[in-house]
Amino acid sequence: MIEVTTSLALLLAVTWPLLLAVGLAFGATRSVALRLVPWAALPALATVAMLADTGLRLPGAMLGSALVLDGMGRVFLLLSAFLWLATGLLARPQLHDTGANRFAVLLLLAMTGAFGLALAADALLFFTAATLAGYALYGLLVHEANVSAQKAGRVLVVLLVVSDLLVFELLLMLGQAAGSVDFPSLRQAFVDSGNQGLMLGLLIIGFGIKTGVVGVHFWLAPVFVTSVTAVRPALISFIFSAGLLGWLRLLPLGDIHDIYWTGAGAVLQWLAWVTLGYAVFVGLLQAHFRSVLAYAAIALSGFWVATLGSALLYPQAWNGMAESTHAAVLQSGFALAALLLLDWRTGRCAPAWLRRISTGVMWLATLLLVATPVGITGFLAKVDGMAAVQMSCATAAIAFLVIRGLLLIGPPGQGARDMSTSLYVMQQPAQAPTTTSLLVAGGLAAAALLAAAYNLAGLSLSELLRPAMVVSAAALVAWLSAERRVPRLTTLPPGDLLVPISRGLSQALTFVRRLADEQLPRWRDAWLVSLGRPWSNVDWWGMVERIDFGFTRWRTVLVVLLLLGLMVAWCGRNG
Amino acid sequence: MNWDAWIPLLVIASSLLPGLIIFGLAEDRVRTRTLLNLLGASVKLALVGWMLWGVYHGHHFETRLALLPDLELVLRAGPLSLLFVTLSTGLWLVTTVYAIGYLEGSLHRSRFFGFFNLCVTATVGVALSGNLITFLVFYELLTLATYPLVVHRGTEAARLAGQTYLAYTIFGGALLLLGTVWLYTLTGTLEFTPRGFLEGVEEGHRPALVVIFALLVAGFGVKAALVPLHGWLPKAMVAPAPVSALLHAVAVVKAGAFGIVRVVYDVFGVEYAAGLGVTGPLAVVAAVTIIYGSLRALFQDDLKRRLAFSTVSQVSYIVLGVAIVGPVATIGGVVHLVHQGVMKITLFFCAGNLAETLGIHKVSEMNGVGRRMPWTMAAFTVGAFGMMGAPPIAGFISKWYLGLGALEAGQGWVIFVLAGSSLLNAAYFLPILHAAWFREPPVVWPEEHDFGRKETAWALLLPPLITAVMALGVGLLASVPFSPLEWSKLIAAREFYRP
Repeated sequence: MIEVTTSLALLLAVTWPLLLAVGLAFGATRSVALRLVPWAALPALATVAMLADTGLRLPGAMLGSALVLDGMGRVFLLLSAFLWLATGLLARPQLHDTGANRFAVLLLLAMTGAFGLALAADALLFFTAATLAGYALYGLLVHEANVSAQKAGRVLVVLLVVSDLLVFELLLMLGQAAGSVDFPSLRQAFVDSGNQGLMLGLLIIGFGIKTGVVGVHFWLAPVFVTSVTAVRPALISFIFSAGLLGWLRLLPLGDIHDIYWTGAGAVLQWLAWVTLGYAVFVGLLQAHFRSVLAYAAIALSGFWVATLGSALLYPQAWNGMAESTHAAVLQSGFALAALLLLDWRTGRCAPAWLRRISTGVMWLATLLLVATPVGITGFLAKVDGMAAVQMSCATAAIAFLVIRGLLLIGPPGQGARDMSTSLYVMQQPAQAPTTTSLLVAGGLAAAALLAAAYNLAGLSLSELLRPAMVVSAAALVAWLSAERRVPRLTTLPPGDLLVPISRGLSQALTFVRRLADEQLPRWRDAWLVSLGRPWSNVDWWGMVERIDFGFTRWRTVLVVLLLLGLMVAWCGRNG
Repeated sequence: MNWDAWIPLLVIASSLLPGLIIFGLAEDRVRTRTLLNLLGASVKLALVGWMLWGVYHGHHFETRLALLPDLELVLRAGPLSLLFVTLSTGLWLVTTVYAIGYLEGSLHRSRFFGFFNLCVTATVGVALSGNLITFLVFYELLTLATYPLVVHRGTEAARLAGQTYLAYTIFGGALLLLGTVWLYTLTGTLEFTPRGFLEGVEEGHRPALVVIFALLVAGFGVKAALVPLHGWLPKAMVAPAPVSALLHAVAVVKAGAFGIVRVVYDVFGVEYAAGLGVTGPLAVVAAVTIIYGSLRALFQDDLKRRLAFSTVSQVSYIVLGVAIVGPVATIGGVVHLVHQGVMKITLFFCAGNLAETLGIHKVSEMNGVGRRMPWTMAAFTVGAFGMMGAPPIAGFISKWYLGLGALEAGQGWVIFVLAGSSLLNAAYFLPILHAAWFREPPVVWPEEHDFGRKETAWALLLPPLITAVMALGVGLLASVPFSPLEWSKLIAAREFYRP
């Protein structure tokens, strides 16, 4: 009985949003379902809180699937459940607006995908959940959206398609090698395969698109800038669950001691350096706070890559690092989501207490986001100094970007300044924050604080001192660069590489379209005409009549008979 | 003949007799015609269900009728034929309901449904054929039965499309006849045999066998729309939507693909064919068709033409699975017979709904149509994502097995073909979905018909919803017993490979 209840609870965590979506389809149940949408994440939250580690086999589903609630899944389900609860609460305006039904269905489908990602026990179910979450998120982004958001959504969906293709190829290769699709078998196949380089590349890029690894990161900033408030926590959930969790599930972390994987770890650490450096450089040239946050998220993804690299380089350290990693996931996810929600400008019209609280929550979330790498840094410091230095650089990069971005917003109530002579961004018209967004942001920041307490609990005061110094130094540099009139080289649009890529693609598409619609048909028609020309001049009927006339003459008939006779004789000679 | 021998004949007769009767009905005998159509389709489904149960319990359903001395018409129910006949019969019933709703008030409905029933008769005959000559007879009957459907509207465009269709299919039929006769002179038999019947043929005849293979594949390749024999298919889109659905999902293209499957597995045997060196070129032709069809689809604004080129591409997945030579690829190719059918018929039903309800024929006219016809577009969305290979819809399962099969057979290049095709599928389906769901609708639709509070007529709405649920169901529940996937695994294990 307990087993049945546990299994049902696990299934309900994933399927409850789907059931609500079905309820929205019918008039009789629509209003009830719509009212329940903001709270649709509660069963998942209850599952995390109340169930022990468990699993549920679904033998008839797809190629034989299963759900599992293990340590890693629990962390990501907790993160997703909280973020989706936040999304649901913030989405109430959209649920009473034009297209409410459509928005609600998309929200519930994306939620189903998010929870499925955390609970999937095999790669195909994971892939299914990622596909559902990704395309539904795209729908949420472009729902009743302006032109900028539609463009940002288009970039996202193109990269989603590419990411899904790469991951599909990876899973094919691993599945063929393993003969199975459950995660432990695939990890083992990864280790035993002869194609590790290709597979690792597919893994890093395929999931890296979703986390924002440099080179495939350029969807993040446009989406961060143009997304509505309600969708932003969902976005963070997607980045973590569809991106980072994919790496954690498929990489053989801690299991192998192999020179290939040591080399792979070193490559990942180099990729992390590049990502961090790029994020800082381009983040400096952003003019919108959420765009700066996007590059902070990219720097964070660099930190995750560095973590994975360290885990491959020092597999013996992974077991200890794993718990810090899980805590860091929660801390950074909640903190980033809180910051994204707090991006509004407080004007003179807002009450002072509200402005103080919002500023306090903002700085708390900033500190918690910046402190994400600290736990892992402390652990790695005992294993390898260089890896710890890299983590410290990640801390510094995130701190510098976010604090500078915050300072660029300007103190409350300040008027606009001339952008050409100042690093201050033109002030947006003052808008009062909603109580809901403040409460939600505060809740997320509090959750991040709890995670941070767990993350940093094992560190001594001296171990905390170094990251504190790093953060302080980064904050000082950020303040100096914001206050001094440092000439700005230029401002890059959110998405940086997107601009030249879009231009190039647009030109290529125009060329291909002209080729397909005009040039190729012209060549084909010309070729057909030239092919037919000699034959169209032939008088076929006249030729037939001449042949027919020829057969009325004895000479012609005798020659034909002679030739036939020779042929028969020849065939008969050869038996 | 015992009772089991009558069943295949009854399956054929269950659509032939109603069809012949319907020809003689007056136009205003709507109820009689509807009753005959639905009765015939239901009886056929029941008989096919009986055969499925019987084969599962070891019954043998076979009918032999003497055609010539040493040549018989053979109808036989085996696992592969049951897969195709079940697909045809199931989708036939749905298409009949759809066609009744679609053609309500139209002219020449008795003529239409008469040939409609003849078409399914021929299709089922193709599916149940026990030898190549029976296959050929029903294959040509299919051509003759579908031509009047293609030209049904009677317009100049329809007439030209019919002309093109006949030219291609008669040419293909001639190639088939030549190949079949030549094969018979070499082997003395045309009986479909698991793993082929050419093992005993002399070595000296190998070049002739290669030519025969080319003739047969070219003959079937016309209906299967293999490049460059595909030209009739996009032109045939001038036909009414039920005909397009029939052509693309149930009858004609499937018959062509099924023919190629029969030739490779039950005439030549896949290993013998691989030894002859013919499967490699076949795989290349299939791959070229897959990419070419998708590229052409990308630049079509006419919705049905876009779907037509998509069919050209998708049907070649079946041929590719067959040509890769491996049990896993076989599963992928054979199961795609079913999966492509349910997904593509959904899309064509939806295209027909859009045309009938709002006068929409072009992709550029579809802005905001998801708000006006949400259920139709929901079904279209399922079909489109299935075509892209998005899990958990049916298309993903096919692609998974094709990809695995390619890797197993050492044909890694196929992965790139699948990836390229998926990318192109996304390129020509996603913009449609975005426009339908997220763009503002026009003030006035091209030609709106009023259905009151309903989105459209029930007879038009239910069939695509049913087939969309089927497309989702066969993917999501791929591993349940008697699913198309499990049936395909049985076919691959039992019919094609030595234990």
